[in-house]
Amino acid sequence: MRDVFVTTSNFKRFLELAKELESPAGQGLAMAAVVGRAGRGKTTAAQRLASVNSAIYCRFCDWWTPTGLLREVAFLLGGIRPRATQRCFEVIQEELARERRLIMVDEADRLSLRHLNTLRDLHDVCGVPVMLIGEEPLLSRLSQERRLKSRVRTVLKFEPVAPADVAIFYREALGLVLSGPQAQELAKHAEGDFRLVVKDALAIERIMRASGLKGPEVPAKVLKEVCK
Amino acid sequence: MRKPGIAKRVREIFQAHPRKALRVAEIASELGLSYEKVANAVADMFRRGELKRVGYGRYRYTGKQPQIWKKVPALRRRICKAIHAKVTFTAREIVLLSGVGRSYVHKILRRLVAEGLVEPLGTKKGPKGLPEKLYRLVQRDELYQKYVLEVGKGGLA
Repeated sequence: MRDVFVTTSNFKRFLELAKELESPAGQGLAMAAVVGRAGRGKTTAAQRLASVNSAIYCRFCDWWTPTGLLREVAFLLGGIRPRATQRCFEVIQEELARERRLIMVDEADRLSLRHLNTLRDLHDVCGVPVMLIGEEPLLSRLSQERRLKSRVRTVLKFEPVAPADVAIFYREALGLVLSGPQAQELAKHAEGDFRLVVKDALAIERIMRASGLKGPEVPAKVLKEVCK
Repeated sequence: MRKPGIAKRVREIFQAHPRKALRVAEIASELGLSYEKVANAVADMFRRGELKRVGYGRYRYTGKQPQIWKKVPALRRRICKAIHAKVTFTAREIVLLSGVGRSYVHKILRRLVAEGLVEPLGTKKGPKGLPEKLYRLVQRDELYQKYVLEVGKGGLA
């Protein structure tokens, strides 16, 4: 199996959302929430975007106060962690005045209302796009305050892995071609979790190699063995 | 005659005490300036690599020339951004996240291990069932300041 980053439909929608938020047209209403169950690839998508783009990725830790969160953002943007909240804010403002950059906060479902309001202040005062990434409880946290909920432009839900994504993954990573029903069966077996799709793909590769079978089609017997 | 700037005066104080770790308040009282003005100058000097933080709020002069321009090669920056985000990782994961070739990722990893920024942690079973070398980022802030932040361009300090 080749190591490839598969652009799934979730990741495509994630990229579109990031692009939309980063565009100058998005100023004023540039907060978004990305939600989905664990294992759907939210964190990997955010880390990938932060690696190849100028966006910053900040993983929230439980012990952070709102000032701690600001200090981390100031460090990621400017390389310093000032002690005073006001100074953190100034560093962030100074750096963002030069270039508009997306701030992605992971584990955002664990943010308190005070943290969320700090991010709202950043969004309002600096005009910075903010993307909150977390599991479903994030939405209920946001809906606790109307001024927070109204600022969220889009809620992107990370859907379970689609059969089309499974087919693309098999083609790019293994060079195997799946028929529509086969992709559907594998997607169903993985219960929407991409990690399980990879696990099944490895099992299929192992069985085919051991039996001396060569692709590009996957025999029905092999599929049945993996999905039993 | 024009009065020297705050940064220059702060630099002179640090140069006069090359081995001593100084606090912002000490410099401010010596120069007769406000705490905020000196704190701003110290923060800028720290970002330019002129000062090193040796304790909470204590800085020492490194003797380095002020860095007004630093450009990190794009691929190296991508690798280091991925490492900074992952903290504990395998080379395969960094290849996937950064989209950079395997051999270059291994080359950068060897360099980071030699510099002490990253350390090998052992092995872990990869998705193919084969053992993969596991690494851990030990000096998170140093890696970010050295290989991710750029100076003088594109909004990075």
